[in-house]
Amino acid sequence: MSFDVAVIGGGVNGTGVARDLALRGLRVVLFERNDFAFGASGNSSGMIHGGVRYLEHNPSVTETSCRDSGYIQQIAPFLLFRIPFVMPIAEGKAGRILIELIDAYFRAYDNYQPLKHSEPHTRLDPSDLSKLEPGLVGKNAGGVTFDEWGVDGARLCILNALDAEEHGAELHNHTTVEGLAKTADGAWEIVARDLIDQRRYRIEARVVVNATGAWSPITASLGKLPPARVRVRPGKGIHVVYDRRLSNYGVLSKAIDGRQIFVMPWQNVSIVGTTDDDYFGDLDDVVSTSEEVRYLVQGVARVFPAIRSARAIGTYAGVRPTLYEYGKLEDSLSREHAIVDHAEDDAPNVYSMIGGKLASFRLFAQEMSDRIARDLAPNRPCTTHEKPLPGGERPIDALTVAERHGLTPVAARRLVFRHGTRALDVLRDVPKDPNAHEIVCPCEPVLAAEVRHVVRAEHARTVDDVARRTRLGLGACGGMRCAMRCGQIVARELDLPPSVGRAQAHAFLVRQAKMRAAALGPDQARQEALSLAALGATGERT
Amino acid sequence: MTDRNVVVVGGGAAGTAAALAAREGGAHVTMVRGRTGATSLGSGALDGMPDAELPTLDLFEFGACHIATSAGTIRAAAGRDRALADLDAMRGPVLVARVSHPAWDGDALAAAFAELDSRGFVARDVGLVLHPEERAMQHAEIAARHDDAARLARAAERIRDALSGGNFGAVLLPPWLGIDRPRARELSDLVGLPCGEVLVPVDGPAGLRFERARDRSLQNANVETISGWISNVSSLDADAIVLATGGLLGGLSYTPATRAPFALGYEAPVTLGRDGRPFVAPGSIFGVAPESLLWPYAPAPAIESVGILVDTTFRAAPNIWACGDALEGRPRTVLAALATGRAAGRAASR
Repeated sequence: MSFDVAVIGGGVNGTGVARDLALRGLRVVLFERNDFAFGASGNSSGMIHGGVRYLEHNPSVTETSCRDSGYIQQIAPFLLFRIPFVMPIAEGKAGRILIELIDAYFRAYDNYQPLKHSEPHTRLDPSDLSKLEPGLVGKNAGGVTFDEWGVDGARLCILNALDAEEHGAELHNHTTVEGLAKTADGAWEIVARDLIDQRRYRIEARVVVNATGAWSPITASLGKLPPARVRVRPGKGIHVVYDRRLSNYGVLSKAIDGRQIFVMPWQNVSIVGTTDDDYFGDLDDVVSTSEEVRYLVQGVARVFPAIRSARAIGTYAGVRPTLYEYGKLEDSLSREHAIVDHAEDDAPNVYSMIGGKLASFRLFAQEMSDRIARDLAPNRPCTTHEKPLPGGERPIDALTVAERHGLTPVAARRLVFRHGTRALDVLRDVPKDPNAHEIVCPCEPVLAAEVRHVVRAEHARTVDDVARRTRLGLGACGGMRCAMRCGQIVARELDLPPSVGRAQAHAFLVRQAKMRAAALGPDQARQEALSLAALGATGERT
Repeated sequence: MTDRNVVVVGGGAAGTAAALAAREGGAHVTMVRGRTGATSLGSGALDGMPDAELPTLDLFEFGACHIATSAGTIRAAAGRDRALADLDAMRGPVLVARVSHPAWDGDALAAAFAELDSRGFVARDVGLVLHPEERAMQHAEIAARHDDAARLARAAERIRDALSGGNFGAVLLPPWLGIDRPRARELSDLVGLPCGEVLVPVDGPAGLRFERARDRSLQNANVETISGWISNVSSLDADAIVLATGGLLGGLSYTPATRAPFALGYEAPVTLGRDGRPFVAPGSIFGVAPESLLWPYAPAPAIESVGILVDTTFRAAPNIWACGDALEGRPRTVLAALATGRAAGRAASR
């Protein structure tokens, strides 16, 4: 089979490029080794921020970041949610000067806020500060608020992938690329293997894009390209997830080493993040440790002590594909992105996308696609900032959906948040099958109909894939109620033996238990004991 | 009859066995019980082989059996709540009820059991849901409705309708067969074939059934019961005290970043331990590393093995005995709780 472009990597860069090129009419194939958003894209802080930190040295980056944030809101309005932040400033001589400086700094940021439809900052005196966020402690000179947008990074990737597919791209999920070689007529032959059914096959493409993030050097070496040309410095970042929204505002704090960290309300939970440490381990199995959790909790507790008694229900971890530099501290590494043209390595029409961050993915994808389209699709400009992502075609009211389909308002809101207007596709079969109303995962909540939908329409092939798309099993009960049931549905939809669905559920539970262990507290310990008893009751504890 | 006063703290399987055994030993027994614990949250399956005598409760059937679960597994057990189907007593093919309730997927279960067991499992519609509001009810609420004799007879009728035209040997049902008592046998008699429940690991009715059976047994045995919390066992006016306060799902708590990460929720002159020794506080100012406590990192995780240290007679301190999940290093199963509870209760009554 022959394609114009083969994209390797189903993170936000890979799916972004696939979408961009497919919208320009090119024949695209996309390979993802684990699942879409498996790596950094699905394990970020979940923000499309405006690049406030670049304002001082590089205001044009702030401008493009804000403009792009505005675009993403336009193409997927359902997927973004406002996160107001507050930055408390400690009292003291320095504090009084600092607040003036920070106030001025954010006054400058306000100029860009309209681009992303955000509110201007406000300056708070100490009493305003404690009124807005009663959980804050310490003597503060005041603070400032500023506005950012949250996003579900995994959904963002999946919607990009789906839109690419709707415009003719082929998606090969759970498929690793094992070889890359030039053919006699100058095209590239890719050897791919489906990691679930082990099927091995070949396709040809004129252009190859390596968008595999922290895996980039590994991918490059498959094509006999010098890995040093795509060197990254993998930086592990973890987040701790709490059982509810703990604060009204995102709160910035400083860790013991002076790094900026935060606690923020995000979807229906709160998250604390993040660490940045050089990572030397297995990219396919990144696990949080209790040391990382303690570092974060200690840092947040200085300004927001309630974090110590809050119930942590899990952690997640990812590895940033930071551009390589030796001898610098992790935090001072550039978050910029770069396109590597492997023509210099005697591999014309092979490119690697390295670095980058979630918030600027669309721009990065556009740069890469412009380069490819120069030869393959001239006169077809980028349209990714105008055309809606699947579900963003028109506004949809969750409460109307709730009423019409007999869902609880919460279930409908969460469904619409994930799917936009495509929520109606999810619910299409519900009138025919009364049990499609079944709430498989009560924590999120997730309907049986949605589990089926993500298997049928979103390339989910395992329980873990379903969790990534729906947040099933990521709540306080840790999958105790839903994982096995989800496995039954996945197996049934994919025509697999029920035991395969069970094995998938078991693997998911083991993985989640590991990720929770690092953040174990008193309430969650009771839940762990109950979950273990429940697993034992089914005879599945091994 | 002695004039010994025994106070049992905790009303789960261990506490109940202890109270009944202490009464048999002739003591006057008072049970103090607080919130729902592991037994009340249990699934009804019994694990582990006790080497001791067990109390008779109007609930459990002891003995090896095979139980079908809502996870689609078939598992061996050493005993069961009497409403749970014993597959060993069922001839195939087995009808798996398909009911109009969103928490039950008869087709998925029939397919899962069929993969594991060759006797044949077929899903068929059984009209057990009689009122639309029942579709929104929890399993236990519907189970309670089947305590009504007329309702149970209706269910039997519906099951017989579903069986017609087929050559079935048994019937597997959702966990709906009574709260007051397990109704599987009554239903089987009405239907004429063995009928029983599939185990549901959480949110099932087995725990509620245990509570009813316990209350009946304690009442028949003249055990006085008090609801509430004990703050300090030394303040109790008793000749002997039996601590049956459970593990983490009961009176034990885990608090990270403290010198003693495990603690009892009440004062008692007993020692918490692990591996037969007192628990050693970790050499970290930030407390114990939770990875070392938890499945799947640790095969015998501390959250399931830390407990009260006792001697071979289950004595934890002068006049204080302990049993069940509150014990250190014992399997946290209902059978172990019944066995150790019985032994501790008997010792306390002497």
